[in-house]
Amino acid sequence: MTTDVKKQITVISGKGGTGKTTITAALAQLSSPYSIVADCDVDAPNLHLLLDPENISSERFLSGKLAIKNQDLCTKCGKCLKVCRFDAITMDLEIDPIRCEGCGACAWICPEKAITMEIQPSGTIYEAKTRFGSFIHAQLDIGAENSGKLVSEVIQRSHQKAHQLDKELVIVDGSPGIACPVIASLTNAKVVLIVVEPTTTAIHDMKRTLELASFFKIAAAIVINKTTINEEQRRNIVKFCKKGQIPIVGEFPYDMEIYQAMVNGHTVLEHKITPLIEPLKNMWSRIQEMVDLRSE
Amino acid sequence: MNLALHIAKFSKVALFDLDVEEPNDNHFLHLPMTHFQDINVQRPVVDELACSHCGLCADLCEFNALAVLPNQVMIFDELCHGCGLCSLACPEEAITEEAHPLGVIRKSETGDDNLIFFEGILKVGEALATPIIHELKKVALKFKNKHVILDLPPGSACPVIEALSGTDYAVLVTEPTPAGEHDLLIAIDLVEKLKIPFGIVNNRSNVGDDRISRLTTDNGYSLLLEIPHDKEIIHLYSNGLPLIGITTRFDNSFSNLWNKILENK
Repeated sequence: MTTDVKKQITVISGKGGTGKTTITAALAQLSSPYSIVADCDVDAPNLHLLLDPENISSERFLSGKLAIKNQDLCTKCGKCLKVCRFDAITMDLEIDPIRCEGCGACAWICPEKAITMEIQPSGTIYEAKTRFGSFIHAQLDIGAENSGKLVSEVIQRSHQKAHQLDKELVIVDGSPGIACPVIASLTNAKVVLIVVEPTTTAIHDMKRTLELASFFKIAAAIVINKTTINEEQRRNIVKFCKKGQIPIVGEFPYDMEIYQAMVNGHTVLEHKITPLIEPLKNMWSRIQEMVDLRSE
Repeated sequence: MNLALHIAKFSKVALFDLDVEEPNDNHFLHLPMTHFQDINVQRPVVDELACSHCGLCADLCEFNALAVLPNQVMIFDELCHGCGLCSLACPEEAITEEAHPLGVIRKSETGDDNLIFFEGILKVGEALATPIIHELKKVALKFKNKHVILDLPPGSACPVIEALSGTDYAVLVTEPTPAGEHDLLIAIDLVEKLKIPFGIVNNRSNVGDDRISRLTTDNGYSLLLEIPHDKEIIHLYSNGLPLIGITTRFDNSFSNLWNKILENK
């Protein structure tokens, strides 16, 4: 059965290296009858390395503008320098394309109309097929602005695709951090899955991402990865979650085989990493309960 | 962070945690910190009585942060970049601006040791990390007689560019997995575009396969350091302890790393 808004699960971790993409790939496999998958880590996407997509279509994503100056018209009056808040106008009144935020204040103030705002592509969006079904992913151009807008576009397209294919779930691999691309990847999310490892830094990052989830009023669930690397820190996470009534939906021991799985482009299930398989299946059934997924 | 601790043994060094979304350095340094600077962004405030609802501000705003209805102006704070164009352009002068807090910069309390440390912290729920990084970089520029080490955010988007621009040398940290190699290639593309010389640190060098050593040999990249997967490192890291100072096992590695950086740049 379908509903109007698709159920979206966004997987984030605050900091890289906790195993977010590995867990998302396993989730993509387990949920494949019901889901389509989106990679919203647009400035350093990795999920495609495990999903091995065959791109069906690609499209340049236009967003944001860049100020371009016509040297012939410029009288060097310096008004642009005064209004620019991003230090994008140099002392000799040239425009620094890396600094330019594309706001248009310089173009508006210029009495000679020497500055025009030109629309810029900021990345490429791909629609792809994988062995687990449909996959929407994107690559931000090196150093481009507007990663948040590109993420929103990926989310929107994956929901459209889910409608088209009558899938109930959208699984989103989010980006690290807590700022604009992450916030964009949380739009529409029913559940945010936070992957943490038992290290003091990852615990700190988990707390910031939990605050973010509660700021946007999204239900959060915790996955503890590499549980065996530090038992004391693992207990700290469990204690913290119990106190805050945050469900822990999965605990995975550290297994060096994971690196071989990565090198071979396998998910944990395909690589048959036995100690991880049962906890993964349990995690998936907990998540199904959380999003109220009705298996047909 | 460990590199900064190494340099501090013999020279003055300023360390900046520019990963303002998830600042982590002080989870290892455990330095007492003091408030240094509030970072604000300007946000528009509309005087509805003065406003003629002409809609010019909404037309001009490149970030769709304003919507003008017949009797009301709506402002979407999360989309606003604080450029000030709306208040500049308003024909009725009905738009003023208010400072909106984005986050803070903190500084380590000065002792007489060689290390000074700054970190930026973005407020949870705020979308703009770049203005905080921008201000931290301004502080960093003031340290002309110290080595300045910047710890950058991950990725290749605007916060990274802001943090990276103007640096003399980049140390790119990776691991020998497909994801590590993929992200390293993006980072190399980025530093080459910005014309910044760079070297590579191969972390967990004995897991995965030999793709990073092959990549560096094939392209003549400088391999600065290999850090093997190591139980003691995991133990120290997971408990929030640095590799330098607690044990002497890694002193040589970081000493070689620093010497290679000095040779290369």
